[in-house]
Amino acid sequence: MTIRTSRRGFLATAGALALPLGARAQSAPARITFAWPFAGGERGMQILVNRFNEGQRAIQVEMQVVPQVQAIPRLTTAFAGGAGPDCLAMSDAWLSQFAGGGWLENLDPLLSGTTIEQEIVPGSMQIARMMGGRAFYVGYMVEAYSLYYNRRLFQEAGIGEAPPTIEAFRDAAIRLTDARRNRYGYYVLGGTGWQFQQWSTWMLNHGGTGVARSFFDAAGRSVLAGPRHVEGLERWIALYQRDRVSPPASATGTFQDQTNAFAAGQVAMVMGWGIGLSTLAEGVGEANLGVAAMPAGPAGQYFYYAGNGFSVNAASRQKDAAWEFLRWVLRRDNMEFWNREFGAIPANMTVWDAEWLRAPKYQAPIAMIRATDQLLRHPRHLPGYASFQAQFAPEQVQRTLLGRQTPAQQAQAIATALNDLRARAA
Amino acid sequence: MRRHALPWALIAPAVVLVGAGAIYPIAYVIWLSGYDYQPYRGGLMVWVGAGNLARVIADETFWHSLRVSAIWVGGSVIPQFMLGLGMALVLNESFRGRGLVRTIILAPWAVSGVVTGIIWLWVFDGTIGVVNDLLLRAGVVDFPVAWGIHEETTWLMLLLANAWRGAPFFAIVLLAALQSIEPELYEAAHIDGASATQRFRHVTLPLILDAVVVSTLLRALWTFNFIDLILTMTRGGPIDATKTLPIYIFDVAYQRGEFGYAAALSVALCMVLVAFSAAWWQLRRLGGR
Repeated sequence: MTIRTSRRGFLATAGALALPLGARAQSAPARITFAWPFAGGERGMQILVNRFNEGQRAIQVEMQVVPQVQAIPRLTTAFAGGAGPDCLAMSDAWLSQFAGGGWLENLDPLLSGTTIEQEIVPGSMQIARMMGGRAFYVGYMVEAYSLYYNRRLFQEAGIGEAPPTIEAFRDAAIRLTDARRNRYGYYVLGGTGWQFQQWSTWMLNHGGTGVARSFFDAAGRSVLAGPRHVEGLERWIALYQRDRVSPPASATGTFQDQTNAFAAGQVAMVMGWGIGLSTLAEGVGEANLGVAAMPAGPAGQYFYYAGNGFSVNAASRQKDAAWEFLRWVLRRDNMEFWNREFGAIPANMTVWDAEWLRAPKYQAPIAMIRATDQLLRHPRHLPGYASFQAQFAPEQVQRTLLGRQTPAQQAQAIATALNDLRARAA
Repeated sequence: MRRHALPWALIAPAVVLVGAGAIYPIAYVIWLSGYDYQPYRGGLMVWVGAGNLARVIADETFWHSLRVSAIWVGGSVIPQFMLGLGMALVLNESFRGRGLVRTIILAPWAVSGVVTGIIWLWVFDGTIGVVNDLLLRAGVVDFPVAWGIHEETTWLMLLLANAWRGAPFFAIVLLAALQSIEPELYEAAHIDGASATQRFRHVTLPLILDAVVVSTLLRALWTFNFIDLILTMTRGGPIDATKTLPIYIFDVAYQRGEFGYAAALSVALCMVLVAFSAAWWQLRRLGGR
């Protein structure tokens, strides 16, 4: 027996019941809800919402802050019940889940009458269209997975600049480590919070990518179990097990632990998304924070990039008003304001010539995002990929770091899981 | 008939509330457990009957999580009960500043699970943690201990944190039970020559037994379902060493998006808890005889 959830039926009934009310309240402003499911950036967005509400009376926006850790459960429950905010900010990591559930409005018809798309960096629009080629979000910020280093500790160790290669990275990490003083060169992230990007970069820069910078070869099999990829992983694992350039606790440490260790000066190099940039800068001082591209390997230098964007709830009864609000927020001046306030790189490329974005900490990730032939196309459109990254990958890498399996076994498990995801999607 | 109407009218709001707040969700989860429902994949609901429950039985992670849950519950409730009983016995005595001590001892119970997790993560932090600092200063260790990478030390962290938070609950309940015991009973036992241990065993324990049974049962059920502390402190790690059944269900639902299967796991969890509760009451009845 197969049934379809009766969301539409429910909405039709609810809409019919609401009709008389709507007719009576025609002159009243359209009230919409806008969800902000992130831990940072709330202040700047609330200022924009207030400005929008004060600038006109026809649409009034209520901003609802959803705690980031509860974002997926709460939004999933709301969407599945045919409810949820009229529009929302969201991470690209949730796109496959929410768009896959049919809960996000296809924005292509709305974008077609505007110049918004021409101003957005192509990589961001590529993310927006990863589900069936339709735009389910419009990016407001982009970020590249980068290497962050403490310039002061580098100087003390007599190291000039960020290591450009995997070899140089290892040498620098060893020189920066003094375990007796509880000082380490690098944080081998094994817990939750985007550790997959660290070790898979070692694998891909060592063994190369698949077709069109993807994880898969022409036959559709994951390339990550190849001997060169395993070698890359072995070298990353050796940083923890053999070279001991990372705090022992890092094997299960989270992104937050990594940030704390860097900010406390315990660790000289960490890797992550730009979202932690301001925290890192606060910790070690703006002048001491260096940002660089991930180190190159024998097979090249590839980068992960990501972003956040705005979406409209497909079940919203106020889609036009929601889009009107988002269009206003996406204006160049608003995008410059919010990104500058938060310390992020705007997805709107017309802002990129702004003075504040010329700081080195922004220039390195911008250079990576511009290098379109080096940007990885990882399969974030596959249903289950978010779970693979957040749940499966940390368990696998912890097994290897803690000596319960070999890097080859990990690479095989990862490749098999990716092949399964792809097969299930097909 | 009229005589019965008033009681029914009086309990009707409670019945409606319980029905809406408990019976409906339980019924919905049981219903959902018969479907393959993956809302992230279009929301189609395919009837699979007992297929999900059969999958639960064959699921190795389910059995692993159940074992982990048993360690979590046993390792939490027993020390919490012992500590709580000790605290209750002390607080039952008369001494100066008893009110203040009671307030301080009971304070951890008011702290949320997430905050407790964060506090204890800092206590055991590998860089700036108090425990490592004390051990280093005392010369017990040469390097900070990475508490979160070994199974045993991770359990130690979790169970200590949970004991800190949970012991006051037992202290409150057992203190209330202790205070209901008539002092004359102790006087009589004393006159009969009973030692302190004998008075505790033959007077105190039988008279607080009901409170012990109810409080340990409640605490065991709450601990079984308690997700905040593990989610904050270990996220089920290292690897999957602390992945309890509720953590597994949370991941299946909100990471993998398999809501039908997560519902089946929840039904299995419910059955385990009902069986445990029944066994506990049965034990109490036998003990009572």
